Amino acid sequence: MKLQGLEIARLDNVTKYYRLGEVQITALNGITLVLQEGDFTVIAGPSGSGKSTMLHLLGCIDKPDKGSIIIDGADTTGQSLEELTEVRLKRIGFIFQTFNLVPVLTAFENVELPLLFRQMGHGEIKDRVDEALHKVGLSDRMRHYPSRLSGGQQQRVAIARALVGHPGLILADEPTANLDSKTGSEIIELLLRVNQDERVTILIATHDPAVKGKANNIINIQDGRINELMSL
Amino acid sequence: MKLHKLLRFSFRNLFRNRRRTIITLSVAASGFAAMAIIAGYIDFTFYGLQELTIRNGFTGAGGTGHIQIFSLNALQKEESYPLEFGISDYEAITKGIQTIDGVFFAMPRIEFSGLISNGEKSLSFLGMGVDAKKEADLLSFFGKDMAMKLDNSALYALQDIPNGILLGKDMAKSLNAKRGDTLMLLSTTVDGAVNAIDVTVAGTITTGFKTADRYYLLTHISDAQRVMQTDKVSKIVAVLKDTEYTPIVIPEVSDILNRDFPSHKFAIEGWENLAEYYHAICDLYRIIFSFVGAVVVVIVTLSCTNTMLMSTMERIKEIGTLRAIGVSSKWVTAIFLLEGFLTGIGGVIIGTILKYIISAIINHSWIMMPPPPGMSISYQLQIYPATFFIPLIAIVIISSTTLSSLITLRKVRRISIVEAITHV
Repeated sequence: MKLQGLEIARLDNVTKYYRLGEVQITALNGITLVLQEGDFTVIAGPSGSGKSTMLHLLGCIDKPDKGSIIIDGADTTGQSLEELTEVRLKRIGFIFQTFNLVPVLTAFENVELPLLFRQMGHGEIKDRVDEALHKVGLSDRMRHYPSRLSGGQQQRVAIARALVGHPGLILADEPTANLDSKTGSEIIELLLRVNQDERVTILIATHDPAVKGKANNIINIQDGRINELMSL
Repeated sequence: MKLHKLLRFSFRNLFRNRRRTIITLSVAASGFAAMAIIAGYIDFTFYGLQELTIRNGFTGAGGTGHIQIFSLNALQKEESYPLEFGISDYEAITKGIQTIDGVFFAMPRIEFSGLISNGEKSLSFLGMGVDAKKEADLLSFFGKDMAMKLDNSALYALQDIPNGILLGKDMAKSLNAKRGDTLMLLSTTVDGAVNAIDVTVAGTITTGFKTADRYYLLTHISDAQRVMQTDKVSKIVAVLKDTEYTPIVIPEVSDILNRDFPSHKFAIEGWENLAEYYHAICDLYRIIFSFVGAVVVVIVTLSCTNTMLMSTMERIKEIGTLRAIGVSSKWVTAIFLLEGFLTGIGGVIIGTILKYIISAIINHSWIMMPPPPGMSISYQLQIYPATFFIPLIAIVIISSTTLSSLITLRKVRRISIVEAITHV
């Protein structure tokens, strides 16, 4: 199945198994998918359908048992752990359901994290972090610790952290699941704005019907297979 | 990431994770303090043994002093008659040695044997002719840095009584002799004849050894010479201002003897060569302390590892997040190693302060310890600075915290990034 535009990432006949005791579970079964630059795609499906697994594989934090994954034209399947780390650092941004901010770091320091591990000067890092926090509307909260921020603000910090490295692809796993509907909508609006302003490809795994309504592609997944692909 | 960034990052983590840092620092600091205090006690024990050997001795034959000077023949040949290889110019030699910087004083000793009698009962004895005042000074000198009071009142009493004699406690009991009683001292003269002199009991001495207390006595050097009919002495004992001067002073003594008495051949021995009993006790203590030390090191290392493991396990989600956003395993390892290293350094600094506080409390609490082997005198427990051991203990603590963070990280690495980011 193929969506239109410049290719950012591709899953090619990807299969992933998990072991649960003696039982082997097929999390993804021969998935083929192409993500284009500027896509705002939602993966929908019931719990256990393979949404998060697909995100983990695309995010290079897990490896497929079969098939290949291409990110920015490079096949990551045979790459070493260090090469995959480099791909995650420079090409992918992650947004987690539970925000995953480091509690002892301020908003600024959390956003700064990925840049600390790049060859960048202090001034450039500061400019980039300021810019990312400004984009998510938290310029006035940059010295606050996560515990002093609301859930929505914490997720904004996580978005800023995902954005700060200027990745081509942002993967968001249930980004609104821990938020009330109003805050959830604001987060989705923010992601949409980022998608439109920055031309960043965004892939969101979610149950939230409100999120589906904002997407230009919806992938319905069930039992590890894509059973529906809608381009809106 | 450059080193300064890494340092800033690690320091920030340590300062902000206060609870975790306080716990790990407490374990590292207590471990360091415990080991340093034990080391201080070991240092004190060995120093005590050394000084006890020099000042008092363990065999009843007096302290070794720091340096002893013999006629070379006395060490190499068997004497045909008493004091055949004695030293005759001892007063000039003593004066010469006392001119050396670092020498506190020098004194002669005569070793002799014979019979002592109260008229009804005679006992064989081993005796020593001494300069009572200087022997008393040697004992009291010990009290200055060890807070261990050795009784030198008997020696002062001997000094005041002409023809005086100090009897071993059990010998006095056996002869039913009291202070002021007159006894007869019989010994072989240097010519092989038997000579006897009257002596007055000035008091009793205890050597710490019950058997020695039955046959040991002290008298004035002049009385020992009188009974033996000689002007020689067995040896000259030099007492230094500090034990550490011993290896420096020995060559100077040798130079003076060679210069002023070229026709005599002397043997000059440092206290360590004369203290077999000291070495035997040290060997025993080394085995005991090595075992205790090894147990403490294992306990401290395990405690540090356990605490580091707990604090690292609390950070699985953080580690997973760092890995997911593209921080390499190498950097995560470097961060945790550096945090472990800094915790170790912090533990050593706090532990040093803790050690000095606890040592000061112990040193001022007048805790009395049971007498050392062969002694009957208690002594005050003291913890010494143990400067030799401190760097070694610091290395143990810093290695424990650093390597334990590496070990725990290896454990964490077995958890996949996917599991780690969702870890609760």
